[in-house]
Amino acid sequence: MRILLIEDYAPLREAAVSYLTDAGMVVDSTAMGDEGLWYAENHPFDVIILDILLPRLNGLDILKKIRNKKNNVPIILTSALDTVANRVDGLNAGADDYLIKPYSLAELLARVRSHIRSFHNKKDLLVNVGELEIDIDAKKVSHAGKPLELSAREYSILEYLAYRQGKVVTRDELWSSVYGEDDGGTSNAVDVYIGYLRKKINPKGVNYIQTHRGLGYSLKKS
Amino acid sequence: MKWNLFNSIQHRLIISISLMVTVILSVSSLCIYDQVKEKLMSQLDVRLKAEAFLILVEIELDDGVIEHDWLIDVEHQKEGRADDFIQVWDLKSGVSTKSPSLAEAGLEPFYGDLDEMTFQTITLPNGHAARAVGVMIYPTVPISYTHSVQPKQKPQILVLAHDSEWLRTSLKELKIYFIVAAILINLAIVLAVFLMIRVSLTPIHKVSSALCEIDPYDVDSHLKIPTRLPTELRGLVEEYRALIERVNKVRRRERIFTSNIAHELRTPIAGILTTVEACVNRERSCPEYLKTLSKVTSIGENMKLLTERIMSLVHLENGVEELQLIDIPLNELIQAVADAECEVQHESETRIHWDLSQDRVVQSDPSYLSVLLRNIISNAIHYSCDHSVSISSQFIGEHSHIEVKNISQHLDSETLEHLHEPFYRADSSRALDGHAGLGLPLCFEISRLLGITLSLKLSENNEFIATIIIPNAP
Repeated sequence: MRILLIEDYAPLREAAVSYLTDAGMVVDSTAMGDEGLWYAENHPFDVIILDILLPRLNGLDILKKIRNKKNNVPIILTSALDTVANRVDGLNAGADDYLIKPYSLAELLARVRSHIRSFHNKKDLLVNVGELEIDIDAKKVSHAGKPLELSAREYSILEYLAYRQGKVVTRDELWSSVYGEDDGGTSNAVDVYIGYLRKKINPKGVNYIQTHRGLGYSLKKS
Repeated sequence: MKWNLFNSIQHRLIISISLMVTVILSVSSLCIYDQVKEKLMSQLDVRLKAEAFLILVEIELDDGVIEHDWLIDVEHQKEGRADDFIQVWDLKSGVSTKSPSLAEAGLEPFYGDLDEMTFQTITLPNGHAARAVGVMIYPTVPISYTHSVQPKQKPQILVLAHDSEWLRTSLKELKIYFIVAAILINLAIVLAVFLMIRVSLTPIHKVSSALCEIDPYDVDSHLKIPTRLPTELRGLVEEYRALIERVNKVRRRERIFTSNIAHELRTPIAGILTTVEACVNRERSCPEYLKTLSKVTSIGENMKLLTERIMSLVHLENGVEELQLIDIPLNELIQAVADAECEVQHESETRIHWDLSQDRVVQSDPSYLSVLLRNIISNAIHYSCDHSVSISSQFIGEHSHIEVKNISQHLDSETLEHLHEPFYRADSSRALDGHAGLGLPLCFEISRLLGITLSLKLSENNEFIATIIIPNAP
C-alpha cells in the first residue's frame, strides 16, 4: 500500500515513515504543504496522512483542493488542535478521520488499514480465492490450509491485488504502490515478482492471478 | 455582630438629618417659647406698672401721717384689686401695710425708680408663682398741703404682685406641646428621609446586583446596565463596564496563552513518543538505538528551550526579575550577539551589512539586552528572503538607535500588529526550526523592563525594520 505523509515536524515525520514502512507500506513524505499537494495530485495513494499546520500551504486548503478534483482518497488529518470546532471543521472539509497529537503510531497504522479496507469495501479481513486464503490482518497466506512463505514484496503485491479483487491493476500502479518512487526499480520487476507469486500460490492448472494483456493483472474473484 | 452606624451612607444620612432636624426644632421651639413667655410677661408687667401707678397715687401724706386709700378698694373687693398682693413699707418708720390677701405672710421688698420699676417673678406665700413690681415712691399730697413733714421725708416701697400661676401652667403645657411636636416632626422627617434614601439608592442596588450576576469565569460576560440610570451613576457604570472588558480580555489572553502552551508542547511530546514507539517496534542495531536516543535528546532540548522562554516571559510579565544595570559599549555587544547568532545559523549563509557609528556606552542589563538583540537579529537572519540582513546604529541626542532590517516573507501590516502576541507566527506551520513565536513577545517585555523603545514596521518595499532606542549612559 502506498501512503503519503505530509508532516512538517521532522521527528514525527521520520518516526511515522519508519513505522509504516516496517508495517509493509510504501511511504512518501514531505514537510511542505505545496509539495504535498503536488504529490497527491500526481500520484495514486491509498491513504494520505495530512497535518494541518504546514508551511506554504495549509493542510485544510490541501484537503479542499484534493476533494475539489473529485479525488476520494482516504485522508487522515493530524493536528495538535483538539477542540470540537477544529475537528468538525476538518471533517466537514472532507477528511475521513481526525487524529489528535500526540498519537500512537500503532493507532495510526490501524486507522490507515481501516480506511484502506473501507475504501475498497473490504470489511472482511479474509480474502478467499478458491483454496487460496489471504489473511490481510495477520499478513498470512495459505493454500488448502497449508501456509505459504512469501517475501515482503510478494505479499505486498498479493495484498494490493486482493484489495482490488476482480479489478485490473496496471503494472505502473503495482510498481508505485509497492516499490515507492525512489526505490529505483522498474515496472518489469513487477512481472518478475508476479511470476514468483504464481509459482507459490498457483497449483497446477489454477491461475489465481490473471494477466490482462496490455493492461495489467487482477486477482481472480471468489 | 458589631453594628457600626457610620459604615452605611444610609445610616449616616438618617442620623445626621435626624440630628440636624432635632437641633433646628429644639432651637426654634426654644426661641418661640422664649418669645411667647417674654410677650406674656411683658403684657403682665405693663398691667402691673399701670396698677402700681394707680396705687401709688392712693398713698397720701395727710398731716404727717401716711394714708393708704388703696386699702379701701381692696377691702371693698373692687375689680382689679381683689387678687392683688400689695405691700407697702414705710422706710422711715419701718411699718409695712399689706393687702388682706397676704394675711399673716408678707412679700420680700425690692424696688426700682419710678421711671424704671423693677419687675420680678416671685413665689407667693400660697406657693403660686406671681409677677411682681417693686418701686420706691413718695406719698402724694394735696396741692395746698403746708404741713412741715414733706413727702420726700417719707419714702415708701411698694411691691405689687399678681398671681401668675396660670401663666406658668400654660407655659409648661406649651413646652410639652413643643417637645411632642418636635419628636413627631423628627420621626416624620426621618421616615421620609429613609424612604427617599431607599428609593434613591435603588439604582445603586441594581448596579450592585448586575455586578454580582457576572460569572467570574465567563470571559464573555457583560455588565447589564439597568434602565433609567441616574446621571451620577453613568460614569461609574461605564468605568465598571470598561474594567470588566479589560479583565475579560486579560482572561481570554490567559486562556489562549495556556492553550498555546499546551499546543506547543504537544508536538515535541508527539515527536518523542512516536520516535520511541517506532524504535521499539522491532529489534534494531545499537547505532539505530543511539540515533533514536540522540533524536529524543534533541527534542527534549528544544522543549527545554521552549519552557525556559515561557518562564522568562511569565517572569518578565510578573515583574519578578531584578536588573543589573552597568555601562555597556553598545557596538561591541551588537557585534558579539550577531556573530554568535551567525554561528548558530551557519547554514543560512546570510550576509550581514554593518553600518555602526562611533561606539557609545549605554546603561542597561547586559544579559537582558543581549537576549533582546539576539532575538531580533535571529529573527532577521532566519526570516530573511534574500539571505541579507542590515544592522546599523546611530546616536540621536541622548539615545542610541539600532536598526535591524531584512526583506521578510510572510509579513504584512496585519501580521505586524500581532507579532507582540505570544505564540503568534506569521507562518502558522509547526517550526521546522524550533521557533515557537515567543521571541518577539520576550523582546517587548524586556524593552518594557529596561525602559527601551522597541518598534517594528514594514516599509513599502517589504523591508522589515526593527528599531531599538536605548538611553545613553549618563
